[in-house]
Amino acid sequence: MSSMELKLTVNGQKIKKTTQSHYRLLDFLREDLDLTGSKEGCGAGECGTCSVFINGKLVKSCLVPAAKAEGAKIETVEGIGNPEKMSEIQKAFCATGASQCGFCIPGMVMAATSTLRNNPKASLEQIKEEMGGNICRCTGYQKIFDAVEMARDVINKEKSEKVFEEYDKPANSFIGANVKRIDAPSKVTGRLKYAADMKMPNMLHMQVLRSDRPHAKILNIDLSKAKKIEGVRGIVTCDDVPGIDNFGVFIEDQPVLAKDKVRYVGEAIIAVAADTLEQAKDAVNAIKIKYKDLPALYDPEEALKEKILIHEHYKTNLVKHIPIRKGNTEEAFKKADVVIEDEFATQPVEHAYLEPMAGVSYIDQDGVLTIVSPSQNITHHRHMMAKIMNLPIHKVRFIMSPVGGGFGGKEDMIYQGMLALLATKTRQPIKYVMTREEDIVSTAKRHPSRTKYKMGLTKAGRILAAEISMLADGGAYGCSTEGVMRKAAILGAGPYNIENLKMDTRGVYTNNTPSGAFRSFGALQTEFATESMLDIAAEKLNMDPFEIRRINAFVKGNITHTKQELNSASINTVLNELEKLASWEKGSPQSRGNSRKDMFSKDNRDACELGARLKTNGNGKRVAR
Amino acid sequence: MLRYDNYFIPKTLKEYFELTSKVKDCRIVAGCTDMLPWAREGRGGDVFFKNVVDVSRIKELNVFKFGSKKILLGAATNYQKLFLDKKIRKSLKVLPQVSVWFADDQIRELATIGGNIVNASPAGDGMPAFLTLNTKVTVASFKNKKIIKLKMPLEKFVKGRNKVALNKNDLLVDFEVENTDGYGACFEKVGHRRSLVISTVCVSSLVKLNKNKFQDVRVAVGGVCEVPTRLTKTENFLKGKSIDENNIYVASKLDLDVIQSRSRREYRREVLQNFIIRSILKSLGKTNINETIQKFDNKIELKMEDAHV
Repeated sequence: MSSMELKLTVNGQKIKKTTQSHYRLLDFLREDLDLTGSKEGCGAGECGTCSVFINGKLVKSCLVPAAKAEGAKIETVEGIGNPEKMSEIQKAFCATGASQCGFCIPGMVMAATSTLRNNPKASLEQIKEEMGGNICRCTGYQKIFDAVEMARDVINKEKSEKVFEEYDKPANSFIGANVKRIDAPSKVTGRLKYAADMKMPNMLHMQVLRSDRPHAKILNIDLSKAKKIEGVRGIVTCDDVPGIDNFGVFIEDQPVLAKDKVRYVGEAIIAVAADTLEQAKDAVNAIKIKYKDLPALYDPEEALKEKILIHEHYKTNLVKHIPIRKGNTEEAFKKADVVIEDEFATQPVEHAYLEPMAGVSYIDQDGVLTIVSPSQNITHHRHMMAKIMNLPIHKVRFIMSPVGGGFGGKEDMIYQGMLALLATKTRQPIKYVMTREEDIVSTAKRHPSRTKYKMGLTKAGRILAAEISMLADGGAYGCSTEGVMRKAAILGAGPYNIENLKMDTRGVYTNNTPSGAFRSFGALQTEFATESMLDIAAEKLNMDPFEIRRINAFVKGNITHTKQELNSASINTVLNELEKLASWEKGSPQSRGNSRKDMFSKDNRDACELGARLKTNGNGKRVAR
Repeated sequence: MLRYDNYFIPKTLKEYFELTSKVKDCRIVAGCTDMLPWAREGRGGDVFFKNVVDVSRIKELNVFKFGSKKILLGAATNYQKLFLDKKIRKSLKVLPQVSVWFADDQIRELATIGGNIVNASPAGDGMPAFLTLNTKVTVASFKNKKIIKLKMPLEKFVKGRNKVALNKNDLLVDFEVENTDGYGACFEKVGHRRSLVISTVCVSSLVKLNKNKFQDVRVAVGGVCEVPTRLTKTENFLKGKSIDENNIYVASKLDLDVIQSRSRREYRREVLQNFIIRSILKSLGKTNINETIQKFDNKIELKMEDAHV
């Protein structure tokens, strides 16, 4: 590994330091100067979590070789302000609640700073344009734009600094109140340490060899070359698991590292720990694996035929079938005035949290195996880990690091087992940070689904019966599939009182990327079908889409198909509020659009979006009429 | 991960050639905005170079000579300069328009026009615009310890997908472009996210008028063929003709066979035709005939894919 000397100014401090020749400016700032406010969300110039100023120009530091910064003046988020003395922009980000998970926020603060330095009176459109290189997964951007506009107005003395402290003082309830987020200052100043920002003495870096086959037998693993690489301190395979090598949130079907065969592209097979990230990478690249490819399953319908089994010992590809029956659908369909049948499909979705998976593990002074990771489910992970490592529960500790966005993606345990094995084997702290590519390939996605739907209604729009059958692709391992199927079955028919209901949700194994927890947890897939069916029904029956929902909505006292008696039901309140906010024009779906007499009159040319008519108000904002 | 042992930053052409003739295994880089994302899993993977030579600070690659007929832009000129420079905004109107579609402000600060052309990506945004500016590029090479410079039209320089007329260690030095003050200009592009989009189709056009007639029309397309190219049939048809929606419509159909892309051909065809029409109309708009555009807009049914997100 060759090194170079770098001289530059960082946040006003003159720095002269020997660093790795190949480091990017981002690596130099994070690894050599411990300025971890600049994050690495993608490493490819797409996300902007690493934005810094070089000689006053904002750039993405993951795209700048450190050598390029020789002699330059660098300004990072740490130079913009600190929790005790924040800049106006940072204060505004706190005030509007713009920092949620916080991972994109240092970059956002930098982009906002650049925008207002270049153009102190930037309009909202100019702000959006100049901040276009930075992405946020939590906020939907509105709170960020609000913050930049607020800071702009304070900087230009159009608003007093008091706006930074205008929080609500909730008397009885915090719900709906704008309260101060106590973690905001640490996030907007880049001081908060996420797992990837942590360092420990003698810490080793972990890298993982992953399968490039969807379904294959592992015939032979050759570690001889990898073991010889300088700095390699430990290599683990499935043979190193001391306890029960099967884990999972619902079904315990997943080995920490692939055992005998691989079931999806991206599955971990071998983990290596070395003194440096580069050595660990070299070792992984030096491992040779012999595979025998097996026929693979990609289609959930095919999975049901059971010709190929993903987990042979289960003798079936069905992960979970949740059947729920209420009333008699067949009889009810006979009485229906209209029967509608359709099919709906949804695709896999990546959570796209800005913080890629990362974690640190170590054995503490009392011999307690400790895992620090942005896990959304640490208690369960702890129990699973105790079994895997064959340790009593008091010898396993999980510490939840700040979660740079989860959305369910950090709920299934994915890499923590490998961290535990290597910390145990080497007795040194281990750190693992996934690249964005690795994260997308190997972590669980939202279940892709196909839903067959049959709905029978009276002319008046009352649903008499519904048959809903969803088939979901669970991918190679069970992960949260069982829970997702339950939730889909419980919530899928929507907030509607349907007397005769036949609900089936099935999740199956395939050789696709595992599906797991994702916001709404299965309800989205089936509810999407239900709501679509109601829109289709409204069209068929010439009814107002709100009306058809009101007719069927749950009310207090109804009993759901899972035999839950409802103490309260808010759907009608929600519908009324929605209708009002959307300036909904009553009528069936067919009565909208071109046939409407008032559409293109002189004062009424604004677009009609999903039934709501919008106009542009004096401030240039689009609001409902 | 990109790894290398040495990173050199020569300051002059002479320094560059002395270095590259002495040091073997040099990988030449400029803005690095393609190199670093490329050296990752799924693309280049883990990449090692013995030596990397960064040409972005070479004096000759940073020239900016402004003339009433010709303008000289160093190959290391970055896209943000094209976006912000007042002289460029007036005399090379199409370049700021490309820039606004070219990645985001932060990447434009690094990405160079030379690097973009040398990559010779079929989807590169710079090339169609520079084609419409009748660009001639200068290539420097080193023979018998002498620097030899050769000027050639851009069309000759880019030979194919990822292929350019550079021998080992040769360097693209500068771009000589025509001052097109008085022309209307337009750059149209379609893709997904504005700030980071790869062109599915992009069109650059320049239009000069003489009273009610087209005096000069230049249209180039990228994203749909191996090498971005000028649409000569369309151009020649319109030159000397009156500004008339029917003429533009007829002209827009003449070069559609230029599309070589294997995927989404029909979609690209439709978008390309609409882009040709729209970019010519918008170029006209830049020469202050908004009323004509209004008239055309009402008459020609434009099925346009709007990429603005």
